[in-house]
Amino acid sequence: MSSENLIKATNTGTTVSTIANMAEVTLKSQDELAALKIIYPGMAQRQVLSSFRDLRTKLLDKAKGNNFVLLVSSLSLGGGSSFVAMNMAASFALDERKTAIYIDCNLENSFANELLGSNSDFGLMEYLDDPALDLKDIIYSSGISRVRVIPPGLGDDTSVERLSSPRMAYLIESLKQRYPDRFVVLDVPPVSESSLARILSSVADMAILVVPFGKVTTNQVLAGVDAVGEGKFEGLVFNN
Amino acid sequence: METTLLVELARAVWREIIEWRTWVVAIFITISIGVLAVGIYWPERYETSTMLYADVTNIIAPLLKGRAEVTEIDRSQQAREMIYTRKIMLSVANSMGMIDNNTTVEKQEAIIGRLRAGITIEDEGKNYFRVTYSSTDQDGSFQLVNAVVDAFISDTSDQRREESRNAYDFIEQQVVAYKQQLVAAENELKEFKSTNLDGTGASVSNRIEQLRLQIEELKLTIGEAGARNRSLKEQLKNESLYLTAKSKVDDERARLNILKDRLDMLRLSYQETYPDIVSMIQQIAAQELVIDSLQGGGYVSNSLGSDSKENPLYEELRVRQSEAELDVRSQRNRLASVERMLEGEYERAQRVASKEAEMSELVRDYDVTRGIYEEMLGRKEKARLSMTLDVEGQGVSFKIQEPAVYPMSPTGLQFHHFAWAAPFVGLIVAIGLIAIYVVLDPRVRSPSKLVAYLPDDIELLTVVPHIRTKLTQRVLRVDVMVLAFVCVAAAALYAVVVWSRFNGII
Repeated sequence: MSSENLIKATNTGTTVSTIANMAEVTLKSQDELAALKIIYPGMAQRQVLSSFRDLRTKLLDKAKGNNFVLLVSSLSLGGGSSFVAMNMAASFALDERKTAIYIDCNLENSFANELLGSNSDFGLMEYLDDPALDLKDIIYSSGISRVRVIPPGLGDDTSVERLSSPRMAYLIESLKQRYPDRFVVLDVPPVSESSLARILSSVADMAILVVPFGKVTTNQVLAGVDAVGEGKFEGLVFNN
Repeated sequence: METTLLVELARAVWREIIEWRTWVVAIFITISIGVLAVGIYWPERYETSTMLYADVTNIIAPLLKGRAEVTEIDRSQQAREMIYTRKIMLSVANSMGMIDNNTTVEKQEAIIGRLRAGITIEDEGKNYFRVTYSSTDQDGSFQLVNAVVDAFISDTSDQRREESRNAYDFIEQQVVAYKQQLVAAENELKEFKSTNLDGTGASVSNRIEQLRLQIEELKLTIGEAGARNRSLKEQLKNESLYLTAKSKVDDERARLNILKDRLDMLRLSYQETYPDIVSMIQQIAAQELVIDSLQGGGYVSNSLGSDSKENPLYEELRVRQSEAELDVRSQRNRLASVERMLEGEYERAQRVASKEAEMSELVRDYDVTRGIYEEMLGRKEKARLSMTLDVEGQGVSFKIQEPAVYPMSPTGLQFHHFAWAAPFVGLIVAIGLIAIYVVLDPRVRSPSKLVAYLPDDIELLTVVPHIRTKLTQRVLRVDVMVLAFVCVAAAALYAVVVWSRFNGII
């Protein structure tokens, strides 16, 4: 973060930029990142940073260095899938030659909304609804170097169907194909809450499940692994 | 692995304590205050104790060693048994005024049971023991121990005296009884000896032996005499009374035979009437007359001549034979009388044998009775000495080694113990409950446990440590501030209660 811009984000709605430029409009300070529980180089809790680096290395090994679409879900509500997903995106982006995009599929308790505040006009739902919208309209800068965010937007009862539409698959595919060094991280609701994890695992390359501390039994863990499906499932992440 | 599990458990407990902090603090305060409240209402106990010594050594004991038994009423163990007896408990309760004549038996039993439960008796080395009573009442505790000791000591000395007196009386009775028995045995023996004069078995058998020898000798003699008699008789038969008699008759018979032969010859040639034959027949008849006269004995013909005279051998034999016959008869008579005597001796032997069994029985009775009587006499003297010792208080006695002291301060659990322990108990209960919750709750709190349960094909990629952000800390701090305030308030309340108690306000 040596290139961190010390100018504070003004959140005036003009922060949307094109992906081509990868402009870093307003980078967040270390305090802000710490408050959001997002990793940054030189953070006080080195074990957290190294655990995410570890995970990143393992997944890169499995993908043989290619970029991939990573699906992150949790076993229970409040299990920390957004925390893991965002930090995975951040850890991919720690490498200056790589970028990451964080797609938030949580219509409720969205972490992206918390991250962006009120300065997001359109989100994923709007894009899936409205063919007129362009990708660049829903991609926002996260305030973290080389990390972009797609917020969920406003959803309703049919959101699940829309998320499983071909346009979603196309969206993911195009995000992945556009830059070979871009990693796509999907944050989906817990497997105990919806079937989105299973649906979206078809468009993802890898899926990981977050096991929260003291919230699920081992049987629930096994059931969650079943719910995701064995095809893309890579492993568990224990979140203390 | 074990250590990892423990560390993970400790971490999990810590996490849950933070998670449930409100509850933890609430339990901690509740338990602490509760324990303190128990401490406030906990009755203070006052304990009085006294040490007694069972004194078995005294001046007289060595002097009388082996002569007199010092009554053995021992020691702490026995004292314990005695103190707990109903008799002593009852007298203690009486002297303490706990019961009077109107108290029902059920109530008495209840009071005695309480006393027994309160009194403890401990061994304090050889012959020393300590009597302790603990009560919530200072005065009561002191007085009760004194009452117990008084009752016990007076009871033991009474009992000791009574015991040795009883022992003496008993032995004396026995002595009298044995003396009577001994006299009776003596009399019986005397009477028996005076009525039975058959002598001993040995003399009888000697006599029998003698008689048998005599009988055998007599039998031999009789046999000998009989044989002599018989042989004399044989000889006598062969000898005739007169030496000539035999030859004369024989001559006459020979002549007769010649005459008969001649007659037969004549008959062959002549008739009966022939004169030779007639004369011959006459001659034969005369000859037969001669023979008859010779054989008849009574008739002694003058013609027999001077050569017939008495046989001297015959006479001699006859005398001898009659002597031998007399001998046999007299020996037989003697044998018969000796056999009769033997019969008598046999009868006597039987009598003596049966009497001897009776005699030895009497002697045995007498000996045994005498032995016991003599021993009893010795014991009686010992008992007399023991009784004298006990009456004069020289036997075993219980002494108060360490008198009871009025209890000034309470013993056992007191308020300050509770005051100290309460916060720790509260903490342990609160943390313990959380630990039990963590252990019993099946939800996953430990990554290593999760790995152990997972099948091989499911991988645990990484463990993300708990992340502490400043914002979280700020949120926590607000929360903790409230809890801390509650804690401080509780601590202040606690301190005030403890202070008031120590200053006697509560």
